[in-house]
Amino acid sequence: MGNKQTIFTAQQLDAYQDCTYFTRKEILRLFNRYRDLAPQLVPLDYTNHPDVKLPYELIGSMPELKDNPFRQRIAEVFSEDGEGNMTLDDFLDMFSVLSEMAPRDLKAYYAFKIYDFNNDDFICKSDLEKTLNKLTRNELTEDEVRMVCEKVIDEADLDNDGRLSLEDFQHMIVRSPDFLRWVPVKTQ
Amino acid sequence: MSDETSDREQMNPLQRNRWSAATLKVLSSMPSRAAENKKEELVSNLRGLSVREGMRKLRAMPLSLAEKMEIRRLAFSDVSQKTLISRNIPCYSRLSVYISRTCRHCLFRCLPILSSLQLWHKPMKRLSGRFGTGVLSYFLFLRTLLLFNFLLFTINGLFLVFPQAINPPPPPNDSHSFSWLKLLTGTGNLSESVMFYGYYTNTIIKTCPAADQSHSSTANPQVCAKSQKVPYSIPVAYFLTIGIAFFIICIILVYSISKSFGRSFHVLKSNGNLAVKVFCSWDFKVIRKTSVRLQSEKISTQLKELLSEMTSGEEEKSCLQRFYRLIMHLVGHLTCLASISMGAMAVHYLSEAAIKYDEEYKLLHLSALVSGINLLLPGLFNLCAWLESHDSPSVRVHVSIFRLFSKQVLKRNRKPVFDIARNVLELIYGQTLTWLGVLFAPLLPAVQIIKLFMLFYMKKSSLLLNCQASKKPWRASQMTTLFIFLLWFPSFLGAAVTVTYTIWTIKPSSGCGPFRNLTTMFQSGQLWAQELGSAHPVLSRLSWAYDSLVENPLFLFIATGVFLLVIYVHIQVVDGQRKIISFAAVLKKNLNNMEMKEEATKSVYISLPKKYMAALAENYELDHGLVIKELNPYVNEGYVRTIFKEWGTITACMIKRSTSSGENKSVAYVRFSSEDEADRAEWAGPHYIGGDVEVRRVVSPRVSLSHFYEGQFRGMRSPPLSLSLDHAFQWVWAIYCKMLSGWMMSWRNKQLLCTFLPPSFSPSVKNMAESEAESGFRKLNEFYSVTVSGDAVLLMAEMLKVFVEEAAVRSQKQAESEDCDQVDIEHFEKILPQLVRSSSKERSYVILCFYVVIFRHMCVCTKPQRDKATCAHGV
Repeated sequence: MGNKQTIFTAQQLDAYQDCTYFTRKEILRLFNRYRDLAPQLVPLDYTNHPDVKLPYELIGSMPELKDNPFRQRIAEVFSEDGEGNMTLDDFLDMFSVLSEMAPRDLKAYYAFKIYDFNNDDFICKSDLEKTLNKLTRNELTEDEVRMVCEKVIDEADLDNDGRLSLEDFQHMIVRSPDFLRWVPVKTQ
Repeated sequence: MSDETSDREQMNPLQRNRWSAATLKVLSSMPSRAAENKKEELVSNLRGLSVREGMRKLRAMPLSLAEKMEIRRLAFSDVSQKTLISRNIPCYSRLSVYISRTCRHCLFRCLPILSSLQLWHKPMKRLSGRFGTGVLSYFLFLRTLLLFNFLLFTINGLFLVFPQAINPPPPPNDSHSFSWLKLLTGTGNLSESVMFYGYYTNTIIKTCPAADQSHSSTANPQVCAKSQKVPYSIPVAYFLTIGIAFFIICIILVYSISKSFGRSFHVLKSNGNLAVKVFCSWDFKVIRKTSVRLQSEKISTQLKELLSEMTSGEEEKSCLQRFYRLIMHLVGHLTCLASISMGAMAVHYLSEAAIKYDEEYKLLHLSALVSGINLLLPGLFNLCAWLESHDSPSVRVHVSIFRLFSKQVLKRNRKPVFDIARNVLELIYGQTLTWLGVLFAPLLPAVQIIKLFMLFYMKKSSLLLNCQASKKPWRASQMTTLFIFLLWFPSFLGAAVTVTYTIWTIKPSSGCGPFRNLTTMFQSGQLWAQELGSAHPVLSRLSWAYDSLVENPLFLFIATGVFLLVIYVHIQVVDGQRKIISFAAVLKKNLNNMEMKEEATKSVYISLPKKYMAALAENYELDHGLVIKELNPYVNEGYVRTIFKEWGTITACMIKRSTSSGENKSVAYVRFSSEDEADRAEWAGPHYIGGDVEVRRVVSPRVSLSHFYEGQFRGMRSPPLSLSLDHAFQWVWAIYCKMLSGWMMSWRNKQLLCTFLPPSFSPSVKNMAESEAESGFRKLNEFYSVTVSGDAVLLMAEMLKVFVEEAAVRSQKQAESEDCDQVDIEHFEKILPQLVRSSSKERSYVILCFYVVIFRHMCVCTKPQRDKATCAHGV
């Protein structure tokens, strides 16, 4: 086939297609976007699984993420090393989860991870404070932030342990029609 | 939790490479926890499914791409050669996937475009971001008014102004000299334009002007002859246009009132959604820098509003302070009343006097006085409001709106207090004038449109330049309802009554206007109908319609009746919605109290005699285990684990400590890998674990309710639970019926729950009562095409949960009263008649269905504190 096929083998493409919410075309398109971030680093041949990672600075400069207050968290959550440096797999994974086709539960799971700043599998008060400050660009006073945190935990915490677990989070998300809005990132 | 750490320990040997902690957690929370090797279990699970299903499951797993690909390799390696084929064969399914994908794309694309098509979409967003929903509600109201005026203008322009403008009457003989004063008083040349009543003639326009100008040779004579038969009578057009326009506006207003009532109740429901606001309000689609800033502005304003609403109204005041406040209020109100009445008297006196003056400029005195009062009184009212210093800005707006309103009624005045109250009143006042005046100046809506347009930009820029966001943010959830209601009740109804009165009884001016020579405006319609009936037999039907529709009091009476009925039904529906919402809130609260946490939220522990287990096992995969009650709270999982290790492999062990109540006992759950092991462990008792304990043998179906929801949301046709889609639809149908009929109150008496069930409830009934069941299934098939919202399904499931829990509690009580410490199926049978209240004929099989359904779900809850809680709620 044409030169497109030299980037991935047919098996690789199949595998990607089965594991993400993308079609063949979109995968190739995403690869091109990935490569455009750093043409000198990314090879054009992926058939032998080269170990290439793009640093967070490059990932964070993409238009989708550039102005997002949570860009660093998003990159960290989806990257394998937890520091925002992404392989192509991580990159595809991120776009797959954020695409329109991904089910709500999957999104809820990753949203939870994004809001869980200290990676302890619970959203505690400090995580919430960070979230709020990023969300409102430090517009709220400390008192207000504290109160909002208390109320949020009070509302969503079902087992009264003072922090939100994944179950609490999903429980809350399920009731919110707004959560569908978690559908960013165009694939074009 | 310690239970997790133990899980993690278990899995450590299995994880070949870097499985993150979160992944482990998710894996451990998957239903297939029993197996030793998670990954292999996962793989074999996937193998059990069809390729497509398996792929879908795999995609939805929260694993990294590399892990997914490995699992895929393991699970589908044998089919991977065929993937190309298998992917290609179901062409239609690929097509359907493609179509659904495109539809979603389109939907997500179109939504923002559609919303941005609305007038002033962007400025509104900016305003609401900076100033909150209170100010936004003002601008929304302004937009609504604009649309009303546009409608009125279109109707008037099409049917009244346009026909008259293309057939101008002969110009008046006396030409007026132009003067600026006349622009203000509206006399002179201006009164001879389409803008005013006096310009319209009482002629009948022939729709074929060619005939008039006797050019009939060039025009098609036949057409002209025909069209001459349909004369366009200006007076009738005038009369009918205004009447119909008012009627349409009235309908729209009533409709929007009932709609916004409903909406504001929904808002009430979402009172406690701070958490949702925090986590879900960020729109990840936004990528432009300015919009990102706007969005965070908006979110912080909304958060502040929510917060202030929650914290307000809690301060206690001393007696003296309250007295002082009361006096202040009294003084404030008295001052306002006094100033209003003085203003009213002045206006009245002057208007009497003004009529006597002939000179034009004297006419302006009245206007000058009114405007003067308008300017001065607001300051006074502001002062009063400051004295009173209401705690909630929302209350203040209400108070000042009503105060202003009383003033408005007494005299045609304008308003005080800067913020929303004043501006909205200004709008309503202007609109009332438009509606009043439209009878005599058909182009008034156009003037109003221009005014509103200018007003919007003026207010917007002045707001952005001069004002700062209100110090006390508040949420204007029900403001719009109030505004529209005010617009309807005093403003529109007042104007409509006045106009109707004028049309019906007052003698129109004999000098000019379309109704000269008539005793009332209404007469024009009568005359027209008679003429039509006699002159054109073809159109006699029309005149008959006119006679019976407009003149016949019976029809008016019936129409009003129908109208009121519709309003009443609307109110009832809204009321029903409100009740269901409050009921759902109560339900949610109870459920949240009752819900066990962690695993327990998802699984049901059933303690039942051994002979029934086999029946249960037919329908579900079961986990076998023990529940240990009355456990010493200092015992930890490791200890319990070591004790029970003797009898078999323990796949899970967790301890739930009682958080509430003074009781210092905890409950443990131990799960064994097989049925035998669990049995042996039970028979080995009595156990002694740091004190006397009570051990019960339980099973729990592996399918949990949360998966049941999942199935619903993904639109699966065959959810794992056998109590599933078909029941769901029937429940939803029942809920819907109830909602409509507004009988929600009876829901609170839980014993009525069962009456909602359609006779044919479960497939197992089919054998017993085939005919009924079949009709039920037919219904069911119809319902399959119905889309059910996620909320409805949730509600339904929650109702079911309540019911099952109720049954559990009752049977437990029954067991207690019989001094048994084990709830048995017999007890359940005994309490069943209490739950099922139906006629004796139906009873037998309703009981049977319940028996099947509930027994499957029936559980004796494991936690002592939970038992207490449910007991307290129940009965």
